[in-house]
Amino acid sequence: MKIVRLTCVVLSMMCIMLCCSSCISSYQLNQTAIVQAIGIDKENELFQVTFQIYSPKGAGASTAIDTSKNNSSIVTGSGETLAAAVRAATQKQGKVIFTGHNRILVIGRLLAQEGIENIFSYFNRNALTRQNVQVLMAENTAEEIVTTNIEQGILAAETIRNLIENTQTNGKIYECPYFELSKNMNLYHGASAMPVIAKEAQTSSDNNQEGGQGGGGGDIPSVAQIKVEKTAIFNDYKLCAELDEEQTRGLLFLKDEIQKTILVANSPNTGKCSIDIYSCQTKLEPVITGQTLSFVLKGKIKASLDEVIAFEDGTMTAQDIVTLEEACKEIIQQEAQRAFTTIVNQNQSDILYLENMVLKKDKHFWEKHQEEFLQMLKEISLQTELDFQIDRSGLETNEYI
Amino acid sequence: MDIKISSAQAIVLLFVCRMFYTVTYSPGAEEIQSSAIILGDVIAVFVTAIILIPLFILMRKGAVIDIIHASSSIAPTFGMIVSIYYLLLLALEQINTVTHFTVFITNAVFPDISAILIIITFVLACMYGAYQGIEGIARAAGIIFVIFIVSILFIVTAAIPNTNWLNLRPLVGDYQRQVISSILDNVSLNIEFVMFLLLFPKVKGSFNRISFWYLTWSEIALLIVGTTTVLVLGEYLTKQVFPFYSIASIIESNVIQRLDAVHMALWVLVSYIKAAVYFYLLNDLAARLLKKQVRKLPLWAFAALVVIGSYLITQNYKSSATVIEKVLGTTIPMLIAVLVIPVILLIAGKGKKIHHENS
Amino acid sequence: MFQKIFQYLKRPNQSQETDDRLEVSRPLTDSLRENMVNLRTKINNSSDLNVREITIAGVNISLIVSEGMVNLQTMSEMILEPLMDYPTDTNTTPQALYDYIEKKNITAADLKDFYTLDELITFMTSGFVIILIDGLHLGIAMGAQGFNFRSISEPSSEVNERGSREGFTEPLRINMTMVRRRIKSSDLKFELFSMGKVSKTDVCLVYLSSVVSRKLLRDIRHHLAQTDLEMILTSGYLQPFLEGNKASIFSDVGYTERPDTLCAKIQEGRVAVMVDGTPFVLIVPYLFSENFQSIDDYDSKPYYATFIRMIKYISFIISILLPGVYVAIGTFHSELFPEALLFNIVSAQETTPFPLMAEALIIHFMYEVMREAGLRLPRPVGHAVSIVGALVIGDAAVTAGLIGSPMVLVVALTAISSFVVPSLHQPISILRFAFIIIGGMWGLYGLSLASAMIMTNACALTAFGVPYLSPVSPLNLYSMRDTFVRMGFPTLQKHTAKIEELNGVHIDR
Repeated sequence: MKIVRLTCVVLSMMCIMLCCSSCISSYQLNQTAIVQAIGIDKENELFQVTFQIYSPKGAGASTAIDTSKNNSSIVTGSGETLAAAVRAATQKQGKVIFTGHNRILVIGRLLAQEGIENIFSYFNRNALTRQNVQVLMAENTAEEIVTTNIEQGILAAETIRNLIENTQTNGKIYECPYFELSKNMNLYHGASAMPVIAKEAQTSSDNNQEGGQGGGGGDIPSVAQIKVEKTAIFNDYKLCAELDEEQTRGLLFLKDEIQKTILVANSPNTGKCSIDIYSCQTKLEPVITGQTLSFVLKGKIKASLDEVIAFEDGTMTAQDIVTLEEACKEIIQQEAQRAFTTIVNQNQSDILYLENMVLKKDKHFWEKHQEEFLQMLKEISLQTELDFQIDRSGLETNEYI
Repeated sequence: MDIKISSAQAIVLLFVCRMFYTVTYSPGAEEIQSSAIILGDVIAVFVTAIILIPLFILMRKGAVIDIIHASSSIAPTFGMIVSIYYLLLLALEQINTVTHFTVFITNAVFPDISAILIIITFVLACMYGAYQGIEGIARAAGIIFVIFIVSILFIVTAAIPNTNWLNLRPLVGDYQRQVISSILDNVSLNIEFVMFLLLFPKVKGSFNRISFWYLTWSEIALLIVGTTTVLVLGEYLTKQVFPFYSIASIIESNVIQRLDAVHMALWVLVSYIKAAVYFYLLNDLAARLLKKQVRKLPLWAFAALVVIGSYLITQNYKSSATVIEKVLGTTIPMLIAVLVIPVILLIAGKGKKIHHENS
Repeated sequence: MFQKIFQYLKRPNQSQETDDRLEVSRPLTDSLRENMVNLRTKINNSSDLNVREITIAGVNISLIVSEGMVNLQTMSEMILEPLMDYPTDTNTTPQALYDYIEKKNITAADLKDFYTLDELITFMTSGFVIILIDGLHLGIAMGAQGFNFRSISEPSSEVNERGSREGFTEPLRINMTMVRRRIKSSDLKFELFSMGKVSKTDVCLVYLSSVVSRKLLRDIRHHLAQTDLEMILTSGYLQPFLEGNKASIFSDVGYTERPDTLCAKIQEGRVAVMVDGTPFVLIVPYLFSENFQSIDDYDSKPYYATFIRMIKYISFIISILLPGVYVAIGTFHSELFPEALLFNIVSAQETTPFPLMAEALIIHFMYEVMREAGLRLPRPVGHAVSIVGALVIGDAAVTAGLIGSPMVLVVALTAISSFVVPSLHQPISILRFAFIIIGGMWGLYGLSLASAMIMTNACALTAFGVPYLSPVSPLNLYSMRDTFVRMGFPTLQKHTAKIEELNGVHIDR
């Protein structure tokens, strides 16, 4: 018994010593390069990866971050595969690339046009990949976006991510988390959508930021250095179309992802009005009549009247509210129709999960047309049946005399 | 003193052990419709119950408490064969458990670590649990059960915004084969009945009643986890090695950035309980077979066997895992354990309602 | 070889042992002189022996006391004066004098006869006045204790808001009185005996005979009989002998300094072990959930008591896990931190020289040093320790760049949390260090595995047959009314949970 106990003690001590000698590879926080944004371009058959890395500019151990500066650095790497490109970036700056806190993933236009099926394997197999990272397509190159110095917040990537996530407040930017992108591309013949991000053109006020003409200190720098105004549509893993702002909103209506947006509608008596949608529930349903397939967008939308730009002698009555409601319906119907036409009819991209809807609606119809379903998308029409209600009008009365 | 655990503790223990495979269900590379998985899970519980009818008859109302003892009373040689068979089955399942666990950790948590470190630490910890005895393990399982339920409900609730009912597609094509495959898969994963058979002499309560509640609760949990997985991932789950883990990594809350760490901690706890129980049973069963002088060796011997077996398999995962799947996944070993042997005992007249036949 | 020689030299002198044993149990003789000689020989003429030899009606008697142990006024009024009133006109017999002392004129309440030298010494050292009468082979011990002891004061280790301010003191009999005052039931039983070959310390088992389990009592007596100690100076000496599993990090023997707490415990069927000379009374069996209960819970509203209990449980978890989790996440799972927090931590770690695990170990070690120093230092100097601690740990280390400011926050939070459950501070201190090392080496995987092992260890622990983690595991819903939550008294009064029920023993109501 004593020998057994002694053996156990010795083995335990050996284990402890072994463990204390760092048999599990770990990296201290100051040895890791925390990546906030990744840009992927493809040039000459090589992947070029641009990392925006957190690099604090604060002073001393007790001070955190200097928010007056952009606390980031840029590292690039290229290679035949994404993993090789990441390793090349590690070689350039010595710290271990840590992508567990990556916020945005930007794909260059050229790569998007070529096809993005090759990027999923690296991110899907990597345990650190953040599934909710926002994926965007760059207007030009991803490097251009990732290297943009945005003077807001701690990091530039943070600003971009906030911009995308605030789609809830404007209803004009399509949000594409990586997980959704990967799933949709895999299940729906390489179809998906993602916002297009572009760098804002430089203005004169930006150029005169230091020692301006007034002889004073110069203008306050603008935060509007990037913009998201379009949405890229993919089919078969390749970029096939781009939606403008209205079409993007139409897409969001079709996918029931509108939470808040503002419509500008006209009334004969009042002129332009801002209608703020605060509750929106829409549903796209297939309609199968015989061998004909079409879709109907049903929705129940509630809005408030936020602003009335009245004519000088204009009046507003209750009838105008009804008119505005009809006008809003018309706007939504047009935007949805435009989006549907571009996505479905022109490019046969099934980002609206139409195939699944048909399968659930009528299994036999789907089995019969399974092989040619994508071709059928060219001819499918869309109707709308919307219930639009303006039931709030703020603190101002609606009738003018 | 005769150590016994209550029927509630037994149900919880079985449930926790069953959850080992539930939360890390891996569809493998097989093409299978997600709805077939759910349908298979629902039917599997009835199929399992039907398969176990002879066993329920055998164990009803205390007719047989110790299946090893009952086998030995037919013929000592038969009892020896049965004991060795159960021993081998448990050992194989234990190797499978540790391997499965190691594969998960080395793929999802520590991609750079050597598998042997994970195997050794895990086996040592589980040996300690086995050393504490079945009462300690059962009580710990009771606490882990609560943690498990709360965590799963949290993950499932947090995953609701990501669900899409369109992912629950109707079954099309040659789905019958897929459903049967799912049923067989599910039945083969119910190896806890083998464990329960050997544990039953240490349990206070009715075998049939405990089995009923265990099947019910495990099925409910399986359906919740499975349905959530399907609603969030749809057919995409067949592309994930650990679909439920993927769901946990998708979810973000304000305080905890990634729930996959919660899932990982949960699975470590569940794996620990399962492996500790298996070590305990292996030790107990081996001690009954071996001579008195060497009764203290089995636990260490089995630990060494499991470490070596798991390490060899993880080094050649693809080929070795296929072998294990072919052995265990066909349900034949389990059927022999819970169907064939009880039928033999019933034929030999061991199923009569005898009130006191125990070890 | 040297070991054998050393053992040979160390062996006790057997003949001397035999002589000692005979002397200790030597009966008294009827010769006063001989008894006195034996006594002086036995105690080696110790200076605290006070003898007053007087002759009453021709009979020699000796009054023997231990210096400082008796109340001289009591002795004078209740013993000497009545003795002086004995009629001396004629000679009397020793037996008559004995009868007078025993039955008639002596008003001392506590009067005992004894027959051996051992008993004489025991009574004398317990503050009794000893009367030896020439011609009788017995002695009379009269209780007249008057030794100085610490007055009843507020318990230092268990402070509360509304409960009693009385705490146990060192004399056993005072403590017995405090319990008796609170439970005026005939079922309250004190079982007094002596333990310790040299110290002969008084030990008392306290229980309610109507609710206590006979088996529990038998087991406790059996465990105490296993002790072979020479000196028992505090209750901690007996604690290891009553514990179920000595290898467990948790102890299933509790202690309290409060008489009201003790009464509540014994009312549930537990047994208290009082030891003379210490105000800390042991309680057996003691469950894990009791560490989070206090008498204040029953003076507050149920919702507030429940809230405080939740805080205690959460504080316990924070105190053992927070540093380890912080180290684990910072070293292996940085993706779990919220971004803003991560940036602060990274900024702080940029200039610190040590890894997170080393930082955590260093600062927690410093904290333990400070805590121990504050405990041992004299009170006037103790205040300086807190100032030095705050300066050294808080400010100077961070400014010097030795550790990061988030780590200071972690250790501060951990320290404050550990004060919430003081009865568990021993396992908390050890577990905290263990989790830091495990978290720094194995990450969350190691922490999960270690937590499972500790949970199993605690679950396997039984306190005299009662599972240590009752009523949580195994679950006893009825007893859960007063575990995580504290139900109101209208609910609690329906039935008082007894400790036997947690052992699976059915109690007929």
